[in-house]
Amino acid sequence: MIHIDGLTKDFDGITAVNDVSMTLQTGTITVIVGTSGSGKSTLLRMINRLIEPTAGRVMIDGTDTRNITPHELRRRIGYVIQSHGLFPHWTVAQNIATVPKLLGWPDAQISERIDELLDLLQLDPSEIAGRYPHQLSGGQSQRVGVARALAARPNMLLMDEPFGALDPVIRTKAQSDLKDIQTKLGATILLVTHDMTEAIRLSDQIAVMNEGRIEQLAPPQDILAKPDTDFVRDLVGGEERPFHYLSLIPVAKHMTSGVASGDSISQQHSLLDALATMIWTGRDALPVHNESGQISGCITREALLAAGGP
Amino acid sequence: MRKSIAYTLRLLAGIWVLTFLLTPSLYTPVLEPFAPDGRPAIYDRADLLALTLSHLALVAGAILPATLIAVGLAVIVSRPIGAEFLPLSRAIVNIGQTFPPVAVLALAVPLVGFGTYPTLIALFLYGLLPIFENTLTGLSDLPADVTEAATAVGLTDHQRFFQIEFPLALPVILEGVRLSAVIALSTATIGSTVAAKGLGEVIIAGLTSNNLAFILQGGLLTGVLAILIYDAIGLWAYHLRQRQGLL
Repeated sequence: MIHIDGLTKDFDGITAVNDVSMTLQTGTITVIVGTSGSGKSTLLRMINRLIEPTAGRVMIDGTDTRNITPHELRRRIGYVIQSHGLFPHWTVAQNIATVPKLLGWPDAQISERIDELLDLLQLDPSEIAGRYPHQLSGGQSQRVGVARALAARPNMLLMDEPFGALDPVIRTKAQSDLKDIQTKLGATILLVTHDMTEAIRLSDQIAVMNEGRIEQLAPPQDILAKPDTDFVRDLVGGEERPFHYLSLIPVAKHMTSGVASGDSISQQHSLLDALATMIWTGRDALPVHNESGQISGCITREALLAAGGP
Repeated sequence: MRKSIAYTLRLLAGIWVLTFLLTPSLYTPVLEPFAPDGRPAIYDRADLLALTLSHLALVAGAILPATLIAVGLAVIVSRPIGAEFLPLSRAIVNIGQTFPPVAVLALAVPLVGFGTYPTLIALFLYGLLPIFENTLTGLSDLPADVTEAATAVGLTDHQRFFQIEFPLALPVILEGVRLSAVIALSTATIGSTVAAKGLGEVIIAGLTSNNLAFILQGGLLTGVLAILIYDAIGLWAYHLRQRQGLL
């Protein structure tokens, strides 16, 4: 568990981050959303002490980060940035091996870990491991950046606009992959973005940041349904709000017992997926199947539309 | 295609230098028309191979320490701890560059005597600036995301410098060494005015005895060696750059 307690940063009299406190539960994804200049990247960089706070403290599992040598702290926290920052003179394998090497892992264990991570990120080790960063596509570089951050099995991952440089198709894929990896590894993730859709898609809780302060810290449903401030309302209040909302609710929650014809949809899919299928196939109701593939009910358009508002 | 022509030309130049040094008499017919009647066409007062080797040794003897000191100085002043000394260091290496080597020779001879040492001093001072400035540029022009990532993964300052910053700056540093080495190779010829062993001896002998053949062979050997060294260091830097994806 990570406690951020009254964190403040002044740069020459300008307050970039102003008395921010929040708690990140172990194994959850917290997304900080804000416009550029809102202080969100500064906040992120204070967690691994790339920037030293003016006031306040960060506690990781009860230990004040000020009591840990900065480079040792950073080896325990994965860090991913938009431009991935891969070391251009090292191969993919060497890049991924960086932190395990620093921690003195035996070579055999390191090379095993490299293959494991490349597999996890759906990169072919025999093809990718020996390449230099400039020989990778944008999507591959991004995944290698994530692999490097995960290499030494950190409990925590800091990500600064990790998908910002990817085109929309790859970005959506990368986001769902991250969600899968997080579920698999159970890491605590703090991710910074300016993209509300990304925040809603990924997060367990969203912190909306503006002018160095947290405007609202809440699960995505609450941010959408009950925005605390005008700033948050403006940020989520666009025409996409009902769709964001639907995307957060699983079909299982609103399905009814009934019969519908045509292809079925999984009950774990979101109501937005169901709506899209209804529009595309011209149906008013869809059969729903459960995890074992059996039809367990149906979802109707009325039920779905009723769920799409606060 | 153009690349292979360039490689062929370099290979031919290398072969020419080697054959000329090992069996100069091969080229007597070519050089004879340039020598005054009855005078030797090939320099005969010393072995050309030995002169060339001591010429190269002069260059190496000046440029290796110049590289160590210039790179070391640049590294120190590029760290926060040495930043104050940047203007001073820059002034020192600039003086080394603006002071003409001939003047350095004139001043050094009374101090260290005739021969190799005054030439080494002149070439050393002359070689500092390009290496110093290139090292500074190389270390300050590193991509910000890479240096940030280096800190963020948990490298100490020391590790970050040796594993990331210095290797990435190396191609630019090598460009400086390349420039200094070539300047030193041509400037070393004037060392012969104070009795340093080198190819300058052949050129000066040609000038004093009015023998164009001597001037040609001294000048051509120096020039071709300069080109070959320039290319060799350039090739090294090119490969480093290529690996870093900078090309």
